[in-house]
Amino acid sequence: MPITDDQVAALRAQLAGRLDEHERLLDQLDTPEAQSGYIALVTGAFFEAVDRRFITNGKIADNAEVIDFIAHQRSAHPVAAEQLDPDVAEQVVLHALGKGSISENVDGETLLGTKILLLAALIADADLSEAELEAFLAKARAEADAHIA
Amino acid sequence: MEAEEGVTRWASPVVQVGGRDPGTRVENRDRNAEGRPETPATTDDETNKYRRLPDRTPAGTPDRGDPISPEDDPADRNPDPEDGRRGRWENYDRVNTAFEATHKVLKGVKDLQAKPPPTGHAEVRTDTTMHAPDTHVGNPADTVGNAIIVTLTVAGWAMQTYRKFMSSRRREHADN
Repeated sequence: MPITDDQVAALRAQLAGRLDEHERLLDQLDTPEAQSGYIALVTGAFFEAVDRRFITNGKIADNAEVIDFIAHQRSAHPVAAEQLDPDVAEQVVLHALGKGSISENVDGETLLGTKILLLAALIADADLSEAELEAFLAKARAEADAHIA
Repeated sequence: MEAEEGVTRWASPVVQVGGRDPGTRVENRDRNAEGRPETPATTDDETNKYRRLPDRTPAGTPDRGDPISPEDDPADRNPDPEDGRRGRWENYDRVNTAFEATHKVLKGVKDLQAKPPPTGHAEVRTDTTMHAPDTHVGNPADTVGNAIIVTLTVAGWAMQTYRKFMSSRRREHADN
């Protein structure tokens, strides 16, 4: 089942900082299919955000740049730091870049939560305009559709 | 060679390549060349008898690493982004039933979207020791030029005044 407009709307609300609207739209995704599709969209968006931030002209950033980014986000955002394990976060970003793997000890909720937090950090850091955010969401949707089709 | 008296005694010996004197002839040091077809080694040659190097292990020999340039070490290669893209969905099955996490991390998401607090660093320092911008002094040549212009102007004015004065005196004399 392809990604729906409702799922995109829920993610758009989150990335635009409209968290009340985001929560309301999340609650409307009340079937396992809708929830699974939303997770695919978040995963695709995370990969797009990682590519955008850590791949320049086809060259992947050094591990040190990834580590610095995560350390900076954790130091600047202490509330998020409580939920963002630096080891897991580094594994998740580096795996998205094709470097290394994610430990089997990381459970599904921790893995998805880490991706959501990193996605929020990457998009806040990118400071996208409204048009750029729409283009980003379109890419994320295409990436997710390509996987779940 | 006999030792000679005088300064020539301390002169450095001259080695002649290809010279006829066997004591000073430079030997062919390319010992790895032994065994090559054009220079077959003979075990009869006592001086070179124990100098034969072991045969070089050919590339592709089992249990032997093939010689490769350190620059080609796969560990140092920058992975192709496309290669990574293919395998990064492999953990999707682990997360696709973890929807509850979307609610649990909202507090952290809100924090990440907030602007970081100021670091306590004043943007503009009032106790700055920075010097005020330098007053424009101008080119010293301009000052000299200006002085010459002023001098010439004053001199011209003085000459004109003097001429007027003299011509009026002449006219007075003529009238008288």
